[in-house]
Amino acid sequence: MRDIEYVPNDPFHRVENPTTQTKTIALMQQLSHEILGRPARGSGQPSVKAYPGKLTRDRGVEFTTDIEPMPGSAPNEARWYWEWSPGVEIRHKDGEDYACIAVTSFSNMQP
Amino acid sequence: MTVNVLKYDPDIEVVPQAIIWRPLRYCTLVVRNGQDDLDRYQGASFTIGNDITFDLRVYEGHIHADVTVTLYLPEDVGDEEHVSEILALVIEEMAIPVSAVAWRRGQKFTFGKLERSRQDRLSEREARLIVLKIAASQPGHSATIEKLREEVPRYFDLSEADKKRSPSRPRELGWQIVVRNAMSSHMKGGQTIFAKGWAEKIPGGLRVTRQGIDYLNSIGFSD
Repeated sequence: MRDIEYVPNDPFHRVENPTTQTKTIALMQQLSHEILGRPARGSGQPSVKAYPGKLTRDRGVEFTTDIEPMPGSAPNEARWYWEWSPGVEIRHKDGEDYACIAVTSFSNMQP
Repeated sequence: MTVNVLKYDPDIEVVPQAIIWRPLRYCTLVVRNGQDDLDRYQGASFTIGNDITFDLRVYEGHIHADVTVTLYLPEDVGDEEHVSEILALVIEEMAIPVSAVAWRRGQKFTFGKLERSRQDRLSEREARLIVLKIAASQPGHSATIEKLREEVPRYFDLSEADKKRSPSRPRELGWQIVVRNAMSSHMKGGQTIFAKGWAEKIPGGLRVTRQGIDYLNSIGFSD
């Protein structure tokens, strides 16, 4: 049974932070049309995490994607895990594995 | 069983499994600030027995962040039935009413939408625990009735039903009567916080006893 009533055109957002959602990373996301996420501490599974809905704070990025988030998501946060979520790809960068989702629209609000 | 508050971050990936319509301060006083790939958060880590570890967190961008807390379990706990058993144990051991669970794993949801149960309103039983928690968080573990009434809305998101004026006591709102009854020492016999030895009356209010603090420690509210 599917838990999520997912609408592909609904937006998600990530808020600016000093390590994994910097101004430089936002620009890379904008140019590549991809969002990358590394494994959380203590996990070997890379994932992309985002809040559902439009950006609610001053700085961050807003996007839509055709890739359905994982059942490991909740009403208040979305997750896309590599291997566990169909459509999520793997990227290798600087010796690290990243989960990667392609976006269908992207707004950079942390210029 | 006892809910133990961990003094350190267990450093494992956790997955959201339930959302409880209660603010973090209702669940615990032992709160730390953290940050991960999603955002900044406030939260605490707990254990029950040797096998169960869980986190309660509120991320800054969560919907209804002021009045809800999200329960996270380690990522290796994936089986829905097991998640359900743990959730049942957590809410029982933390003395959280079942009606407070706004979403749990396995329940259908739409991103960005969360509905509170219509049955979730302030009961006298829960109000007894809330006044105990409020007094325990005050200097000297004591609080006046005025202070308790002032603080209750910070610990419990009062529903429209709670805010209705009482037909029998039109000068008071429904929740205020519930709180007053919860502080009564001569009602409901052995169920009061005084009969259980958790609190004692002082002029104009109440003080939490050592026994009361021990009880609050056992449900993870304090350490």
